[in-house]
Amino acid sequence: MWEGIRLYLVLARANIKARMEYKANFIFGVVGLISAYLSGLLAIWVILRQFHEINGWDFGEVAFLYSLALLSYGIGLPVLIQFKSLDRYVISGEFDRFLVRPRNIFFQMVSSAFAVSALAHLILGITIFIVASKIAGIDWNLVSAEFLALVLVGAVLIQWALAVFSATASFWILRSSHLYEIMIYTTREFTWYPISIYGTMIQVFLTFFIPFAFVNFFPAQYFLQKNDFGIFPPLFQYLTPLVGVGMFILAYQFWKLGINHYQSTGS
Amino acid sequence: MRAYLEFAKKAFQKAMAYRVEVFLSFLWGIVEVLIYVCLWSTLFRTQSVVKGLTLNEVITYSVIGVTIRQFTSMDIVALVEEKIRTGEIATDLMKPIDLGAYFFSCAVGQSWFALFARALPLFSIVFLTVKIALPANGLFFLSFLLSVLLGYIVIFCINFIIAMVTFWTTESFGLNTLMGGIIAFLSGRVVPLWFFPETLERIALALPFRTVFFSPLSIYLGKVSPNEIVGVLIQQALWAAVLLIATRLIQTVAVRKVVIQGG
Repeated sequence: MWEGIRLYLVLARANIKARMEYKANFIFGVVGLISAYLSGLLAIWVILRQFHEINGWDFGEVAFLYSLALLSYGIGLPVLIQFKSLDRYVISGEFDRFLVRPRNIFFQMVSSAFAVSALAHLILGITIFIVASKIAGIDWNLVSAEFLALVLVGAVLIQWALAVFSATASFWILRSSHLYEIMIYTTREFTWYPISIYGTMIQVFLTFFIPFAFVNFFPAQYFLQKNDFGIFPPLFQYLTPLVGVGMFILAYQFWKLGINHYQSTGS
Repeated sequence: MRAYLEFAKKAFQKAMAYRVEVFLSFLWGIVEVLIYVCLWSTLFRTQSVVKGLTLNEVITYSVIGVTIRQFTSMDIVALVEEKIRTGEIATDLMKPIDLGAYFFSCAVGQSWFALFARALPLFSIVFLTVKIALPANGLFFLSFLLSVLLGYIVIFCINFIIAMVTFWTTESFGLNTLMGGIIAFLSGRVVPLWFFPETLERIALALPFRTVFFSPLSIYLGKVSPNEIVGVLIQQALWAAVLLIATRLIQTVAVRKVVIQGG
């Protein structure tokens, strides 16, 4: 496994170097992405300056919510990107290339390209996280720091699991990148705000079907010491790591199913 | 002239072929409406009127804004980037058609399709499920439509300029994303300009972006008195003219660059 990680890092470094050759575009990309997200946050700031709070969440708290989503997305992005384009490989038949190599297919796919825009998400995520923590007045200690690490791992696993689910679907329905877009991008939009503002159906959807609520909404309340769980028990604020691991195991099983199906149908 | 109509028709048909993409964009619109309705409803729980606006008016603002956006969506930047990547742009430039007019025809074809496949269906569904205000009378409605069209020209010009910049940068991602974010905010699409703090509001009003969303939406809601409407429309027309001139200029420079460098 360490060999896999080392290989991943070597390839990642090579990829970044290749991208850096187009330095201007690289910088443009990072700046553009950061600005786009900052505009979104600015919009929230303007709203809260006028209305003071969204369902009891003030700007610092909403910004913290925002940063958790951003941070976990940035951390997971390099892997996420691979699964987004899996359907392209399956369609073109390039996927067979991976089956021939004598390594676990899963890890191969992950290291074939590195999304440099993850850098933008990480820079922005970390910055907003630090600033928002200050504004929201969060007191960090060893326990909360450890839990943060667990939460981030869980949040990343949840997003990876969703990506794997949609990518695996390409073994059956080919153009699954749209499914990916629906699952990741469309649902994520809801979670920029506390989901308690939505109706019951949406809350249930975001908690039990596409559990993005566990990426930021529930765990944020642990750190912010809030109690705005809508229709759910406060227990949910601790569950992110578990949900992450559980979903990832499920996704991996589904993935193995997909690989078997792909190989048995004879590309 | 007929050639450009053909281009528009082709763009229309091309848009029609990507059915899943159309559905996804439509779905995105529904999600946006859901979020806005819930957000504003929550925010207006403690006060019924904020800065002279009621919940109904703000929801209407957001919903019509989403509808306009479905209509004005165009992928000219992606189109140009692809043509540059494949080298097709060189052959395009050799043809006796004007690049700007060509892409405008494509945009029109795409938007015409978007109007019927996304904007109107979205509006119909929302109209049946959410309480939306309608323009006070025919004058406001027609002015609103004219305002939307003027804003359309503005957003096309901005897109075209970004596309032309791609002649130098080859990749449009950075600039496109940057402009996308800035425009979403400063145009008043996400948050009505009435809620902006004074300095930001002044900046937003001074820029052309608000002509795409804030101007038509404020006319729609009747927040502009009948005599002021002409003033707003003239401002929009001026911005459209300025930007059109800018597109011609940058197009000339960009084309010259390609010709000199041999594609």
